Amino acid sequence: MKCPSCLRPVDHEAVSCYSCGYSFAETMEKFGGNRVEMSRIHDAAHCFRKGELDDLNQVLDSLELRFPQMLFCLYLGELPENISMSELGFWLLNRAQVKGAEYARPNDNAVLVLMDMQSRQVGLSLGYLAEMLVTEEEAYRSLIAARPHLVNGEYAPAMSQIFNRLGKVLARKARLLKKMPIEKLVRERLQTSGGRLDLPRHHQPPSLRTGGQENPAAGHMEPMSPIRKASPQREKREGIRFAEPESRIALKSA
Amino acid sequence: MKVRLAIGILLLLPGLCLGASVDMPEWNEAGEAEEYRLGGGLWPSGLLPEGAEEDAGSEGSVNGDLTFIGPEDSVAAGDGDPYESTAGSGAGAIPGLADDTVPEAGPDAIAEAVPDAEAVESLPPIEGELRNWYFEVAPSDFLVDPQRLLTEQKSNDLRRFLQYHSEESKFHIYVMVFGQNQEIPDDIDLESLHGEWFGENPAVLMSYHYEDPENFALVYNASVREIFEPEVFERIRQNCLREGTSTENAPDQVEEMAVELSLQLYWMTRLLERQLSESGEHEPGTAVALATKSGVDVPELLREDAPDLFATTSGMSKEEWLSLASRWGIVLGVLLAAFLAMALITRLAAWWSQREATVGKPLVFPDIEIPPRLGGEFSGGAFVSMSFDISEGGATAGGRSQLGL
Repeated sequence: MKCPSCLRPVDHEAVSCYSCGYSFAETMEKFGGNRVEMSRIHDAAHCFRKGELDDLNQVLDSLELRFPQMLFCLYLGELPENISMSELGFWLLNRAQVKGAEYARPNDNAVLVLMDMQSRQVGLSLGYLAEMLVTEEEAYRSLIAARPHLVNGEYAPAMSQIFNRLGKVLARKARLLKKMPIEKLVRERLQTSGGRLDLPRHHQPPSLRTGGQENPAAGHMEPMSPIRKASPQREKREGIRFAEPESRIALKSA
Repeated sequence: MKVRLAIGILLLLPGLCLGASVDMPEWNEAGEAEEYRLGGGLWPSGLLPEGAEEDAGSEGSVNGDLTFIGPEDSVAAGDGDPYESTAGSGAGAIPGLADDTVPEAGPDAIAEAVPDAEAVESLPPIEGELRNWYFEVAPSDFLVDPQRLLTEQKSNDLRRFLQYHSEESKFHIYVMVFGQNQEIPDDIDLESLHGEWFGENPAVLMSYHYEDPENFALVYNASVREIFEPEVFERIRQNCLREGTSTENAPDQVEEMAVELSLQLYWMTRLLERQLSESGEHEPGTAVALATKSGVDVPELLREDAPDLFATTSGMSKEEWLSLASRWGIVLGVLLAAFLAMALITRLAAWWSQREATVGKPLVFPDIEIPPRLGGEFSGGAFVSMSFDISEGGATAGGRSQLGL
């Protein structure tokens, strides 16, 4: 997980970026704090024709039938230079209301595809649930699959390709979740992203606590001293047990 | 100076030309000529007529008068027809040539008057030890040629072929080679000898006379002779004779005849086996009726009346064709089915891989509460992007411009 502004790694429960102090408040200052409405396919750049829109709507309809919880939306525009796609995606997913989306499709289940015709970039913003289901590698592969269409200016087929690839990924994850609890998937997801991204440690000193159960989802997310690393060997040696953060406890209980 | 020199050369040149002469060979005197003997002394003296040697060295021959060397009265001093003189008097006949052998006068008188001396020593009659070599004991080799009339190479080839035939056929072939003028003794009966030597063992004894293929004989077992009509054996004999007379070389003749006999025996064996298997025991005349149609070779005959005998030869029966076709049909059907199955599987795999991921039952994910990040209510800013700008000033193709996860 990275900061949408400076792209520095941030913790999964950080209130603001440790590097630049970026938070959603800054985004609201830039884009506005009001809620907005957007279409499922918001073509601000006017790239799609009627037929292409119909085909793309058909793809999204099929995806929504397949995944009743997920929200699939698309934004195409020509962004000014001072607006980054990551910030726009961050703001849209938190402030935009997609027309026609049912209550069962909250924005944290959203998969938002953004395309900036000015910088010729395509991006993928994910809600909280979607980022647990779609890894960074899978999202990037979905974008790469559509690159030939994008280079040739075939934007509608490219978007269809991206959504279809994401649908395959979600279907695979759904089959996987039938065999394993989602908590385990979330733990693995957080561990994988943390290990891969080499997240910085918390500066908050760990709260000492004796007894209790060891949180299997600890690891790098465990509050620890920046100098002395918490580890089972250290717990055993020093006879102490590091406390779990409140969010971990809530996640575990859930 | 030069002018004087040129004039001098011109004056001397005619004199030099007149004084020049060519060295010509000079004829030797008659008395100094060397004496040559007719034939260089290599001819037997008996072949030269009397006085020929003296005439060869006489003056007349040296002086250029042609002198006929031969019978004294054969040529009448250079006039008259020598043929007439040869035929006219018996006194001047060639020594050793009987008077009664002198043909009458004619264009071919000289050619026919050549003495009938035997160029090749005639072979001795088959008597004594030679007779024992032929007929004393049963032959231990398939080729009986004690006089070595055939060349060594041809003998080896023929012996090897007969050995091969004996391994492949029930009927063994024994070839006895005699001289051209040699006669089998009258008291030798090849049929009885065949029965004495081979008994009931199927064998064919072929006697061949050198360079006389028409004077050959084939001797079969008595039991075989009872089964088939004489026409069968006669046709086999004619076929062998036809092959034998196709060449004039004696070793080739006997080889060709042996090969043809081997072929004929093969078909006769097949016909005999089939006849015996059908009837349980041979019935004289039944097989013969099949095999004795005049003017038809045995293989052609068998092809008509016993087509199953040709299973492994050039022809195939209708049932075999159908069987073969059915087998090939099955193989082709299996291959076609496999091909269609592979095509279907490939098509299904392609459809499965290309089918919309949206097809299928609805998939519901379990609910889970995830703590917010960076103050976002629904999203923590997870973001992945890619540039598709391929211009020089654009971002790197395919490169990740932002990774927000």
